[in-house]
Amino acid sequence: MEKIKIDATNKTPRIELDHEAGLLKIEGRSIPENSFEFYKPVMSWLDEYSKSPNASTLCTFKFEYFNTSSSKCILDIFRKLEQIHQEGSAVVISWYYDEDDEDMQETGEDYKNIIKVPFKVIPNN
Amino acid sequence: MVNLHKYYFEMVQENILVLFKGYVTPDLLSAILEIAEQKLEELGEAKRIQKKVYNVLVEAFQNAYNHVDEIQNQLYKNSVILSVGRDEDFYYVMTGNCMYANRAPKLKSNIEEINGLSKEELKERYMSVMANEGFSDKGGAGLGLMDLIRKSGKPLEYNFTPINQEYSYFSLCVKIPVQES
Repeated sequence: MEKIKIDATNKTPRIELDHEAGLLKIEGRSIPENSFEFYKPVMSWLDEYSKSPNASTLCTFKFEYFNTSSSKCILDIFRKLEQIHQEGSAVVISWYYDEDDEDMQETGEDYKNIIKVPFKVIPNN
Repeated sequence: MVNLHKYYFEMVQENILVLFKGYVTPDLLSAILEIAEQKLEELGEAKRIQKKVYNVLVEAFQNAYNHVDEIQNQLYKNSVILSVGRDEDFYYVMTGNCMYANRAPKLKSNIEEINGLSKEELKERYMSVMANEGFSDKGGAGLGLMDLIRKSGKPLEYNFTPINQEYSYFSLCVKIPVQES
């Protein structure tokens, strides 16, 4: 599978998807008007990835901001990761937040409560 | 005779940082968000508050933008107002837009309902709507409005003003306390 790298813009996050390394990384701002369109490549990559995932998948989410429609897309990504995990491959999600950003911390905790995957909520230093 | 003093005076009085009226395109919205973000930085507010205000205004402005697009009539499409103000106690993120009058009662009862929820209830509702219900880029089941209450910690202030039989003007104000609660 192809590696995917998408550069950040002032409305969209930097994305890195690497099958060989078992890596999914999303960081920055996610406030596009059309989140579903924006996250489509990530969802298709995950669909493909889930057919033959790496023995372990390390997922990093480090958001500065995101809007409500992105929050739904992020949940869809988590659901996909949950499925990969349930089918027997190790998946770990790390959710980073700025230390003074309680909202981002709380959002991480909220996701953690509904996603059945090892999920760490970690302050940035 | 041209005299903008009336507008100027009102804007000064209400401590308006950003004010826009017209038809909003995605590019324009990006530019407005960028200007608003710069203004917040210039004010030297604590990073935490800056972030909260920016978060709220992204959500509120995109919400207004999404909904006005449903309208066909160009005159009413041009009706969007996006504004940020501040006084000693609060930031005020305000939006206005025309909407179909027959949708107003449902929106009103939705706002009333979520305004009445406790912090915990609101969180549960938000998560369950997000996880279970239909949702699109154009929003869904009031998630954006719930998010505004969750982020600001305050009930939404709103008003519907009938324009004619078909349209109403919807005003929304989200207050964000300047002091940490």
